[in-house]
Amino acid sequence: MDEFADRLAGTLVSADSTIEREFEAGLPEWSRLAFRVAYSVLRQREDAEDVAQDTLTKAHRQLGQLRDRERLRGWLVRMSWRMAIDKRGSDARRVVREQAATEPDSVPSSEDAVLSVERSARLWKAIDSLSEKLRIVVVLASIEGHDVAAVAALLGLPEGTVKSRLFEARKQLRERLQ
Amino acid sequence: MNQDDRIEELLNDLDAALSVEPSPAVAAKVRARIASEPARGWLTWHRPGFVGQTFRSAGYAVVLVIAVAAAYLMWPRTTPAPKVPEQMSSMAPAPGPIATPPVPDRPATMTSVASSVKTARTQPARAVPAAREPEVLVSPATRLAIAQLSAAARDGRVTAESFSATPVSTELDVITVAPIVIDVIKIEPPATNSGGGGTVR
Repeated sequence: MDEFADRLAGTLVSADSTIEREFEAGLPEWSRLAFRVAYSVLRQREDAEDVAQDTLTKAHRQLGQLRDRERLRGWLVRMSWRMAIDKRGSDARRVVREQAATEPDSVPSSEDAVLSVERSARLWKAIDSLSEKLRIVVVLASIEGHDVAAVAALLGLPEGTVKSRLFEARKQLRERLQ
Repeated sequence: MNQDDRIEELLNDLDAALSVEPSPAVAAKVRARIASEPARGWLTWHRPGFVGQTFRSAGYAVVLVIAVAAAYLMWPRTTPAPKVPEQMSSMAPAPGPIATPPVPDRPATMTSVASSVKTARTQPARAVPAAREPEVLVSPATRLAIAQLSAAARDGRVTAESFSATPVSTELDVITVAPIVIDVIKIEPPATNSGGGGTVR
């Protein structure tokens, strides 16, 4: 009985160490992915980094059930997206930041910078006009050059659904840019 | 610039906007937060895979209980012999003693039955003791015959003389065998010219 308990404890300890090694190996890639997804929602480095940290800490607790790499990436994307949405909705500082971004004082001096700010504002206005399910598909397709299959795997959706959502998103963006 | 070009430009801007890299401090902060978390014990609920392990263990326990129950139910067990003496003791006791007929070559079965009847008569409602005579199974017909005999003895229809008056023939029957008579067989010799033969008797 003692031998069995020792063997079980040894198995659990070695499983723990394996999980730690896997987590350490995937941390740079996963932190980048979680940060970019959060940034697409929050557009603030500090807030996006906070969300990425929270997401990765939770992911570490869930690693036992998320051993499959692709499942873990999908879980990270959905978790960081949801946490960023919650943070944006509840954070009062967001309003202050948006007001500061639209004030004339923030206009840079060079013409290129002005153009960049205008384009950036136009970009995010267009993206924000999309519904959430269309927006996440467009954002994920823009992160790290994900193709349709990769986006479908991350969201746990059929590829046909992702394709139709991308098509619908482009159609809506075209209408809003007219 | 047409609409498609503007869409492509917009999506290119999105690609560029999302090409941001997190600061290296993110990974370091994550490591620090994980290290600062309390050590997970064996049975803490937030242990990775704890829920799955719990359900798996419960499943093993259920299978074990079912196996033990099945083995218990299927295990062969010895059943106790039926209590025949109780059946014998339920017979009505006779009021007085009866004489046991002298039967010289009684089988062992009959001896035991007679003693059981005697015991039932003298101690009608007593429980069968632990150390008792060997049990003898008696057929229903035999039991009925004994009961009838007991009743007849009680009524006086059967006495010791009834048994002794019956003559018992111990001699063997003689079978008379008639004498066997065998006729003489005559064989005639074949008729030949050489002669020299005669009658053979």
